[in-house]
Amino acid sequence: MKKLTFDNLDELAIGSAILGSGGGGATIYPYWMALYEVEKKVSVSLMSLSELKPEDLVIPIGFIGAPLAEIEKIPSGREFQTMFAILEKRLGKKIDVIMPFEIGGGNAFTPLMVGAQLGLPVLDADTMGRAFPETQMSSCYLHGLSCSLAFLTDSLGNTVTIEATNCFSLEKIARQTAVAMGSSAAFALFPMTGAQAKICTLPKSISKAIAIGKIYLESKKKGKDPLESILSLCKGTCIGSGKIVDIDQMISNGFLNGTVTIQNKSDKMELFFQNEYLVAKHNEKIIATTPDILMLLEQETGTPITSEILRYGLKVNFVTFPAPSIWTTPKGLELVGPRYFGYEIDYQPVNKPKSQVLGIKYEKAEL
Amino acid sequence: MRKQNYKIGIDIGGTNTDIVLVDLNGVIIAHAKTMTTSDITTGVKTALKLLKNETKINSDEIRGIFLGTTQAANAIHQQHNLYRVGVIRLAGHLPQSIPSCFTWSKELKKVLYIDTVTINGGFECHGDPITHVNSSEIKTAIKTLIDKKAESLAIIGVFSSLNSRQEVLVKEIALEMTKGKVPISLSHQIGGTGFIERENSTILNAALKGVMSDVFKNLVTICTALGLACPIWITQNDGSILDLARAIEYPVLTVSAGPTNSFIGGVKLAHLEDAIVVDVGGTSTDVGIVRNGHPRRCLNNSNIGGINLNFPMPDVYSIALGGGSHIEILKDQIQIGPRSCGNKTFSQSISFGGNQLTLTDVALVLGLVDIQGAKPKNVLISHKGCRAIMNETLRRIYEVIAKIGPEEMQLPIVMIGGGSSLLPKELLDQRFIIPKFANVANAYGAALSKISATIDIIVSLEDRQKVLENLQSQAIQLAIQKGADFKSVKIADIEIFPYHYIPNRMARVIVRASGNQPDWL
Repeated sequence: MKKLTFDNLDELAIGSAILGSGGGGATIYPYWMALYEVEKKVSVSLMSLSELKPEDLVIPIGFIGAPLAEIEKIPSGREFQTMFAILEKRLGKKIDVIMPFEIGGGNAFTPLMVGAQLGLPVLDADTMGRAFPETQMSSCYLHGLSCSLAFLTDSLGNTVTIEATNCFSLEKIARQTAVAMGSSAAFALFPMTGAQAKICTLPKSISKAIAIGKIYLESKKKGKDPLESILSLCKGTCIGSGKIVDIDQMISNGFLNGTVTIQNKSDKMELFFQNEYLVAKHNEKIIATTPDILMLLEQETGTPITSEILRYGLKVNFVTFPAPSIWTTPKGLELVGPRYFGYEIDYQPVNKPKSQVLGIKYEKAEL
Repeated sequence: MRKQNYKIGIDIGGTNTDIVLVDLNGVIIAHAKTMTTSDITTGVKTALKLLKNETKINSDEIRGIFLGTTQAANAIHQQHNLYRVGVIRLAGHLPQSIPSCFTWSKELKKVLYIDTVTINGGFECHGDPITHVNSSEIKTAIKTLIDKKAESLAIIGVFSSLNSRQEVLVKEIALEMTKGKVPISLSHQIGGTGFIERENSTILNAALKGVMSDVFKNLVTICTALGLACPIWITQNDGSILDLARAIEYPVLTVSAGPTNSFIGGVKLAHLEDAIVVDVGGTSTDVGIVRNGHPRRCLNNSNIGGINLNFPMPDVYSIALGGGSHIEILKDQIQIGPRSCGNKTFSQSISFGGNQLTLTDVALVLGLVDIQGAKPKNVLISHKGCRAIMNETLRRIYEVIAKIGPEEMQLPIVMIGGGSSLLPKELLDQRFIIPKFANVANAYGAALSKISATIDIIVSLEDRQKVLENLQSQAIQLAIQKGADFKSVKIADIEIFPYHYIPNRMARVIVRASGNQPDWL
């Protein structure tokens, strides 16, 4: 077990935004919530998968709903306490360990907040390896874990227990329940044993996000561009760079859909997003797709630019990181590949050695 | 002699107080500059007297006074004269996940924050109350805070931008209980989503109510003493005007009026509606963009003194480069700023007998300016070297301008501020304009402020066109109600921020209508 420090929280805020692939919601409110709880207590412990006992009860948690609602009707801070009492009664067992169901975006902080509050250790793992918009996009589902029990609790203390027959039904019912709860609810799903967690979860997600944030902040402190060190840490690739010249976005089916265009002289890159960045084209040719992590980092500061904060004129580096390997299998791609999101193309991994990549170097715009 | 009509623009900055006298056609007739005094108002009085003596105008020829000031921001930075604030959260789910003033510096929090009481109320994003308000609970909350010696109250309801009635009810009860002696700030009057940021803004507003109402009321006293009986208007963050009563109620709305006035003043001096404005000061250069006469607003990270706020502030791109900037010549590179001689430039620069090489020295050597008492011969840098420094200066300025956005690159660039005269005109491309009176652009911007109305609301866009048309006509009506000249009122802009995961196509829509001051002003 490892105690998390305040520095770790700052690092996680950066790392989780980068792993969010453009989505996962803003990290600032969840960061404040975790910081507040950790300030009150001594600290929160991070547990590695190897420290899990086979019979431990492990619960993945996070918030489900609209980030907008969460930043206005902020959580009561007691949601998980209420839910866990019901959950433990239902399962006849005490919770031993909690973990984030997704590492990308604000939900990375939920178990830290709750862990500090309730004195529960947090498992250094998640079930997505990034951020995804739907419940079934989970390593637990892929490994055939039962989703027959899930819990939602709102900030007024109402709890809904869902016994679903399959994960797609769970997604539909949980989404509607969250809307009825004011579009923001605490969510726990895929309760599992320690033995199952060792097989079904993605290991070291939190420490990976913290490591990314650490390298980022250390480079910044030294006045250096964090890009190179992040790329080498995550085996990532800088596809190219340029200036955002167009943002076209609209809402449909509950998602923020759109295209962002990045121009560098005559080179044009287009990035398609549905909350998360999903597909990238370079001069009409597809160069990167989900489930690889696609991310924009501002050139000057290295700040991760999520789809919610895109703006004209930003100079960005477009980077990709390889997808967690479970997503690149045929079964994984069926769940989170480009076709699931409506793009009639196949997954194209970015796996070229760095020298072969486009590597369009940004040059000063001509005035 | 026939009577003329004029108006006065005042800018109270951190260092200087500038005043311009403008005729009704917007022409500057006279201007005056004094040092800003610690009591704020003596400086204004001196400058007003200077102006009156110089022009011999009669007090009754002045039809309006327009004040822009950075004093609200300064009071926060200096933690000076702030009220101690009690906070009431209308939030039936009793949130404890983020307390009030959580991200603030300990010192500021200690200076102005007393306590928070959370009571039933607030709304869900779809409009239902979270829980119903209860007047006896409201009374207990107010009494608790007053007993703890709260001098000012801040009321924040969840989603109060959707429905303000609960906040208004609390205000009515509080005014009755305190006989109107304790000022009340309501969060929906400040607007925007993001509970914590709106709470921060409301608390700051409550804290500023004493010091800023003093500034505004003293201004009235001075004007009365000088026989100026005309109305006084205060410029707010978005560059439009507040009447004095509302400025006294919501002083936080004036917190970023300084840069706004300089951007608006810049375009107006150049007779433009759309331009990039570059304000070259002594320590920094601020670049902003003006569209339809309004500065572009900043949507992320608007904050003051490290406190996250949620109301619109102008989008300002700043670099630490100005007339007093220190210049270091390193082996193969020229470093300009970030350190600056600031208001000591005319004593610390080499040309003035000091030992610091500044941008002003370089301009003097190149003969770009002529300043009384300056001895540019003391500067031991060749013309070639000076030109290299100027090239680097302009490169840095061009670099900031480039951040604004590609579609703005064709716009004219208006250069204003005390440092604007230092730059070599021949190195500026044809987009650049340095208007006359560039050094009093802020006060001029204040004098010509628009009258505007903003509707900032979360609505369903299921019936998109109808909803948007409705909001636009509401905004126009509101601007006319506020006194805008009805012939000139138009929609200045519409911003739509769609929210994902929420059904019914909910979006935050900000519609702003604005018009000119009426003919008689």
